[in-house]
Formats: sequence, C-alpha cells, structure tokens
Amino acid sequence: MGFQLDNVVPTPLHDWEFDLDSIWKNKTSFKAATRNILASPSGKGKSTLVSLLFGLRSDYSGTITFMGKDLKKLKPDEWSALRRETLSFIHQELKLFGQLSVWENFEIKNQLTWFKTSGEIKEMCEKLGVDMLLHRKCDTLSLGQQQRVCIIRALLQPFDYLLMDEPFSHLDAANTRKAIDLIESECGARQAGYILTSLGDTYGIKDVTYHSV
Amino acid sequence: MINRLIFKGQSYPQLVVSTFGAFVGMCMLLVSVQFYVDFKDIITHRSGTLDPDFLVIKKRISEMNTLGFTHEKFSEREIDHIKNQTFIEKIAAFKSGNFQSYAVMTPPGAKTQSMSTLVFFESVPDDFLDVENLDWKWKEGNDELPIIMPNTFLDAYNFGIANTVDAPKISRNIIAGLQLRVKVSGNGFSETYYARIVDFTDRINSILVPENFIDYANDKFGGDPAAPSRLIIGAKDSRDPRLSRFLSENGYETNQEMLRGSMLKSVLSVVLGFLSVMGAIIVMLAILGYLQYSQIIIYRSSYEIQVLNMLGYTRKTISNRYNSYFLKIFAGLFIASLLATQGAKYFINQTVSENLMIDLHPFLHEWTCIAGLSFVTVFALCSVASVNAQVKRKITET
Repeated sequence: MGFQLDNVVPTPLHDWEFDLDSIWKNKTSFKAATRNILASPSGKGKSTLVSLLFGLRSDYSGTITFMGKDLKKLKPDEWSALRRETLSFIHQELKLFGQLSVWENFEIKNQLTWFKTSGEIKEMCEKLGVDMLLHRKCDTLSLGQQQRVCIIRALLQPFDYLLMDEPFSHLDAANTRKAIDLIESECGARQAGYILTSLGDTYGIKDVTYHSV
Repeated sequence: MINRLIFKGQSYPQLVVSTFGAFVGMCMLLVSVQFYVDFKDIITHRSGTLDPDFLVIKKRISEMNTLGFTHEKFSEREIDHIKNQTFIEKIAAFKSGNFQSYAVMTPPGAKTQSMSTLVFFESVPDDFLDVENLDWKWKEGNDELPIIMPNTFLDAYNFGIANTVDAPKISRNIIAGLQLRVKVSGNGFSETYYARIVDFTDRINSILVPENFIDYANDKFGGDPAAPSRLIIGAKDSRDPRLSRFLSENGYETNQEMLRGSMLKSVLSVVLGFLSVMGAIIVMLAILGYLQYSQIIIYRSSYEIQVLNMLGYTRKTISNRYNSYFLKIFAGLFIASLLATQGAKYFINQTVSENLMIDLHPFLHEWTCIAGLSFVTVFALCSVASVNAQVKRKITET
C-alpha cells in the first residue's frame, strides 16, 4: 500500500516521448516498506515526481494514490497530517530556516510530534558529525553541513515513506555512507520505505528497486 | 520560535501609524456616538428647545385686539379648523386657573426669610408633556401638588439674578427639594397645598399643574372657564412649510424658541454627523493600513510559511499566530479608545454641568461601548479574513 502511479504525466512534460519502462505514462508502484532509487540525468522529472508525491505540486494528469487515497483529493489539513505522521521529505533545496540555529531547526520539526528526545537528536548529530554546530545559525553553515542537518530534521517524525531528492549532492563519500547508514536504520526502525533520487549513483545500497524516469 | 519566523518582516513605523490612525478614528466615532446619546439626554431635560415638533401657538396681539375688534381667544370652530389640517397630529387647549393663588417659598438654608408671590397655573394634557415623572399626578384630597416649571424661570435666576448678586447657581436637583406652599382661594373658599417642582420644561412657558387639579380648583374657587388663548399642537413635522404658511395666514404666532431649537438640532446633527463620518473614514483607512501591514509581513515571510507547511504545520496554525497577534492589538485599541472617550466625556459633562445645570450620566453609554465593540469586530473580521486568505495563497504558491 505505498504509492501507485497510473498513467501520470506532469503537465510540463505532456508532449514528451517516454521510454516503455519510464515511470511516466505508465503503471508504476512504490510498494510499502521498500527501497526505491530513481537514478537518471537531470531534467527527466525526478524532482517533479517527489514533489508530486509530497503534494508540493499537483500539475499532472493521471492518478497518483498513496495508501489507496487519490492525492488530488486530499485536503490541505490532510496533507499537513500526512507530513507530520506519514511522509517525510528531504528537499533538494534543503529548506532550512537560515536565521535559526541548527537546534532550533530540529525543535521546530520535533515539537510537532515529540517523536525524538533531545538525547536521540544529539546522538544522530554525532553520527553525522554536526553535533558541534547545534548553536550555529544555519545560514553560517557550509552546504554539506546544511544537508546533514536537513537529513536529521527529516528523521524527527514518524513516517511510512521517506522521500529524498538528491540528499547527498553536497556530501563526500564518507559522509554519504554515514548518512545512508543512519537513514537505513531509522527506516528500519519504522518499517518504512523510501524513494531516493540521484544523478546515477546507486550508493551501493542492497535490496533496492531501480526505477527509470 | 515560530513567531520569530513568520514575523520577521515587521516594520514598526507602519504598525504605529495604523494603530494611531485607528485610535484617533475610533475616538472620533465613539465621542460622536456618546455625544449623540448625551445630547438626547439633554433633549429630554430641555424638551421644548430641542424637540421642535411641539409648538405653542397664540394669536398675534395687535391694535385690533386692544380696540376689541378681534378676540385673542380661540373659538371651538377655530380649534376644529386647526385640528383638521393634515400636518397637525394633535392639538389641545391650555386650561388656565381661574382662581387666586399665591406661593410662599422658603429657600434652602434660610430659616426665617421666605418669599411670596402671586402665581398663575395652567395645564395641558399629559401626552403633550415629556414628563416621565411618577410624581406627576394629583388626586382630590391630596395636599401635595406637583408642579412643572419652565426652564426659563430657572435660567432667569441662574444666569440673571444669581450672576448679578453673586449668589450660587441652583441645579434642578436642589430646586426639587425646595419647600413651596401654595394658597388657592376664591368663592369664599381657601386651601393650602405643599407644592413640589417635579420637572422642568422648555416646551411650555407656564407653571404647570396636573389637569385634574385645574379642573377641580376652577370648579371650586373659580368662575366660568374662559376660552383658551393658547393652544399646544403636535405637528407631524414642524419643518413642513405648509405649517408655517398656515400659521401666518391665520395670524397665529408660535414660540420662536422652538424654531431656534430646531436650528440647534440641525447644526448639532451636522457636526456630529461630520465627526462620525470623518471618524469612519479614518477608521477605514486604518483598517486598510492594518491589512496592508499584514500583507507585508506575510509576504516577507513567504518562504518561512511555505517551509513550515512543508514540515507539517497546518494553514490554521500559521494563520492563528497572525490572527492572535492582531486581535491583541485590536483589543488594546478598543480599551484605549474607550478610556480616551471616557476622558472626553468627563470634560463634556463638566461643561454641560456648568453651563446647562444638567448632570449627565458620568460613564459611557452602553451604545458607545457597543459601537466601539462592533467596529473592533469589523476590524477583527476583516483582518482574520485577509490573513487567512493570504496564508492560504502563500501555501498554495509552493
């Protein structure tokens, strides 16, 4: 009962020709509690897909359902509830509050559900090596540091599916590895699935379904 | 923390200007409402002056009267003729006391000194008076006699005699406590009454007693009742030009005081109307100022609002932050403008009390509070509607 895509074409791509195995204009599903990677060069609509799945965009034809519900029929409050409890998202553009400290960015997310204790948050920070930055304002951090903050923030809530739009684009291989380990263990604990977009890198993740865009 | 995000675009100068404008506008509105209420209060105190639809008419005294060719009294036929005019609602004749009477008055504080004077009583039916005084009734055998005095008598004392001899002015309340004995006599009979001034009027320039007292006393002490020389009419609208034409064609005179009252009423209405319209315009501009201010804050926090919504904050949570902020400002504004209006009322009351000898109610009238509350409610509704719409727009823009 994950995501089902039926004959979906984003409006900006409506006059494109798609491959037979493309997720667009096709029947595609991202099953619950599965690992999925969308790897393709840029400009094929990977970010568009995760934006559609997270409800940030709705300019498409066809039908997308999540847990049996038509996404287009969800009301704003239902989207908010989904984003608090069921779906988490790591945005390619990070979307941090630059004027707040790292810790405040975590708090603003965590106080919606109090899913993690302060100790657990600090532990995650140590794993990704941002524990020394907690009181720094986010806009003083490097992109790599910000990306790690962003990953941790996405894990401060319950979810059934984690959507990640090029989440490691600013990370070196070692930090990417640590981030993948953290994400894997957090998803495992929740028995949650994820969708990860990348420019072609598959990060050596096992038991993963590859999708073509 | 959330407020730090969504209020990052605050610009205090605009907030201060809008709030000051709203405050001034609200005060103007509330003062005009309050003053209108007070003004109506003054009308009831000084009925004739400010309620021009009751007119006292009499015949013009000319050489012809003196020579005896025409009569200053109204005949039955003449009264019927007036009554049949379409612009006349009701009409009644003054009943005059046809007996001898004099009053003895002991001023407050004076132990021995008393003044006595001949007095002349008249009466008109109760529905021509604006008296809502429960003491205004008399029964045969009752030795307490209620009296209504013309305001001009009191004014003559307060602004004439009191000023000249440097005596204290007398308020209506003090005069109500005056001891006054009235001796009525005629036909070999005589009776003494304890009279009490229960009210004042501008409508009628005579000392009035209840109509049944005049009937009783005329019957006992007087001779045949004379035809009336003055009539009181209730006009449907005293500004009706047919009325003044009718009066002058028939050689009737009316009380000029009342026409001046009519003028005063229109002038005051224009002033109050102007004040409230100005107040309303300023208040409206202030509302626009607030709306624009909220638009600016929301616009400057577009990114924060969108990201908060992305994190799972509902539209309502975000809007409510703005709404409670503005509602607090409006509540403060409401209280501040009520206090300021109360302050203004204090000075109005003092002026009225010094000049007109009328003590108005010391606090704001409930209508003033209701008016203030309804404007603040309009503020709040406009603001909430605008904030909600804008937060919604920001969120759907993502």
